[in-house]
Amino acid sequence: MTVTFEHISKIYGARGGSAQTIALRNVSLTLERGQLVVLLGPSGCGKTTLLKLLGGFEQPTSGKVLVNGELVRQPGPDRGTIFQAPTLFPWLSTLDNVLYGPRVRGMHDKATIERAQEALRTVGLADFQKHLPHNLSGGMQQRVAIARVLINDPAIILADEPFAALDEYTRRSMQELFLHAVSDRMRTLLFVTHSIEEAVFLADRIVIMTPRPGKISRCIDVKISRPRSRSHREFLDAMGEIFKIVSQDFSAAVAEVH
Amino acid sequence: MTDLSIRRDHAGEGSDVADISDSGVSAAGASEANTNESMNASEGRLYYFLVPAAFLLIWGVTDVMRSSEFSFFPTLRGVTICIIDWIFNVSGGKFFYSGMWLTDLVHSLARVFGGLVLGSALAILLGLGVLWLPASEKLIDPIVQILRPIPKTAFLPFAILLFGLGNGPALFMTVYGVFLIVYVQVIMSIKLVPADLRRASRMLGASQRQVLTSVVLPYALPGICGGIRIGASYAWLILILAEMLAVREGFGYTLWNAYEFMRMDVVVAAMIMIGIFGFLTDKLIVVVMKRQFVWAEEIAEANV
Repeated sequence: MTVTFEHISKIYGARGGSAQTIALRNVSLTLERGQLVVLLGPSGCGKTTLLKLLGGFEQPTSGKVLVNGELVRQPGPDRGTIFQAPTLFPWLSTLDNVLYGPRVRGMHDKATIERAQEALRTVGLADFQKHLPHNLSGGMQQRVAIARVLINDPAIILADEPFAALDEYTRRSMQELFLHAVSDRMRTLLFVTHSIEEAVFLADRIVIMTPRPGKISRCIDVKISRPRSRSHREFLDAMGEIFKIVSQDFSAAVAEVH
Repeated sequence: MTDLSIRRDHAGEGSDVADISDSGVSAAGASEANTNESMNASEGRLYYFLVPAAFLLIWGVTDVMRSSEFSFFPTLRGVTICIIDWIFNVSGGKFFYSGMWLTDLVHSLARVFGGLVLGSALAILLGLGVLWLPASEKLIDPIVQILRPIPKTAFLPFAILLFGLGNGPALFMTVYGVFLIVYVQVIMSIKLVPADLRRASRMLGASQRQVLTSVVLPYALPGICGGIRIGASYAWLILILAEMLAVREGFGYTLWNAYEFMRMDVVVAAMIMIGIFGFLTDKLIVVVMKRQFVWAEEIAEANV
């Protein structure tokens, strides 16, 4: 699926009011089918807003969000979202959480249950089907959240800093699991993070954003071959390059303020 | 990471010693924790009865040392005899209350639970309606907020004029009282449902209506049941007053009738029964909640 953001602006608060915040100003971006695009930037740069617009959770103040040329009007199972917190349904078992999507769409057959078990196997939780979410660790909960999106087989997957709350070790294994579970079938991925390392590890293309008002500063294609090794020379060089750009953006922003 | 035994049942307070581990891992740790828990529970049960027992003891002792000014206050012995006659009709129908206990109990319980179920259902339906049409909250809210400070019992004269003497006003009053309390709690619980949980539901394919039934309602239900619990205590309170004036059976009727005969021992007997069954109603709701909302219980416990 091709995703297009056309001249997006998003303003929160009453128009002209004193509490008005410009989250995004005139942002245009295209995501090719099968591309893994990472939005990178500090908080307040509008990266999460962009993701919410594609998710259909919010509408732009002006501009259009298009999926294969069609306007995004509301959330839907074609765009699976992994939130920052696992956001599982706390009264449902792991398996029932994964089955939630198929069930609300009227699929109650045995094959669906098998597919849910398969999705749980993919994220390494085959033995935890009957557990309630709060009896799982944060990383395991987030894996259920991935499985619950996978079973819907969405053409687009959105992820909003899904591993930010996890410790370093868990985060790394989750990134690998995420790539393994999600990046086939020519899915288009939009991944939001403030971690340069995470961006370089995951992205085909990194979109660097700057705040106040939120806009795109630069797009960088990451051409390192996969699987990527964090200790590899190329990887460290790419990180260094992006760090340099981000620092320039930062000092420019500071100069603007003074 | 494998230590994920789920405690399924907290309701039985230690009596269900074996019913603990779901996944079967870490049995040693689990049983140790459970022993501590059951010890605490039996100790807790002892404390539970300590104060009522002490009260009865003191009351019994004062039976023999009454001065005449306090003669209207019944003796423990007198009240006990009343209760026995009320339940078992040992006097052979000598008094208006003799042998009437079961009739009184059934009528009072039916009215309390009738009011509780109807009032709660009404409150939940209206609450979901408000969620469906957010603008309607602004229409309903002022009425609810004005009605809330007016004592629920103040509607009794109108209820009697409207429905005549009998079950009508008693039921109307309890339904109204329960509704008002539960409704406020429903609105609050619904507002506490995290926006991301509703978003998650939508992006997984749920329709707006399915979000209500499959996410908002289950998430809000423990909170709503907390409201029903408060509603139940109000239901007893309102019911007893309504029964005093509007009907010819029930704990409230017996209490007021006894007062008119200046039978303070029967008044106290009726008060004790109201207390016991009010307490049991509350316990019942708590037990049901603990069984139904294991997830909410455990999350709440983990956050302590």
